[in-house]
Amino acid sequence: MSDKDLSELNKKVHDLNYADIGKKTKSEVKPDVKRGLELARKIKENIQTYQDETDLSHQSSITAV
Amino acid sequence: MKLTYRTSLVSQLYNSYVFLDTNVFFHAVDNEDFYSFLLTLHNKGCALVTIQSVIFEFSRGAKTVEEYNWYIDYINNLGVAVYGQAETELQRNKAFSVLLQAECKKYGSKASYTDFLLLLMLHKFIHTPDRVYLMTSNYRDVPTTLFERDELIALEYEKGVQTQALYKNKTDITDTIEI
Repeated sequence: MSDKDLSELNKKVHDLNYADIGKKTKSEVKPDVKRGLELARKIKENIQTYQDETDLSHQSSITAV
Repeated sequence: MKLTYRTSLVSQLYNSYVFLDTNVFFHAVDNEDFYSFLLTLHNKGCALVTIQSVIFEFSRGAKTVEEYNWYIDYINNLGVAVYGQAETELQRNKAFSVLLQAECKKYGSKASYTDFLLLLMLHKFIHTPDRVYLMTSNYRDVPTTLFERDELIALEYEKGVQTQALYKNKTDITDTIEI
């Protein structure tokens, strides 16, 4: 991947909400419950896939030994 | 699924800061009632905060930028702010870092680097013990010689119960650790 490609990809990564305790006011974000639950469903599947893959790689490393 | 906590907890946490450990996000994804509870805290004036290291652990399953953004959007949508100075605190407060490590070992804790940074962050606000908390389910990693378990939140599932605890600073730690 070229530096240009990486730079383009970097622009697509969403920003976290950074804050310094005591110096800034609390986040003014108005949570969208429907969106939160939809993201939770996607993340849950993503975590499950990651865990399955991790388990598989663990098993294959045991086989290799 | 059911959630059990002291009824006055939400009002107690008004105007407080609660640092969230990685397991809080995993439980929120898994348990809608707990997710709603976190939203209630945010909506009732409690500031939910975390550190970059937690984001790293939580988003470990992402394989693409799109998938990574799901995690970021989830955190942002919960109203969670990220405190970016955790590692600076490690440099600024070297002596307590050493003492904390020693205390964790004495306590038999196997605290990860993330847990360690979160505990360090909690200690940073030792002079405001009723305003800054850490929420985690890793009880064994938090030395009770330094930190006090203030509240428990029980998350009931079909197959069992999990709990999240709210820790705050003990104010009289000079008696319990060797300086």
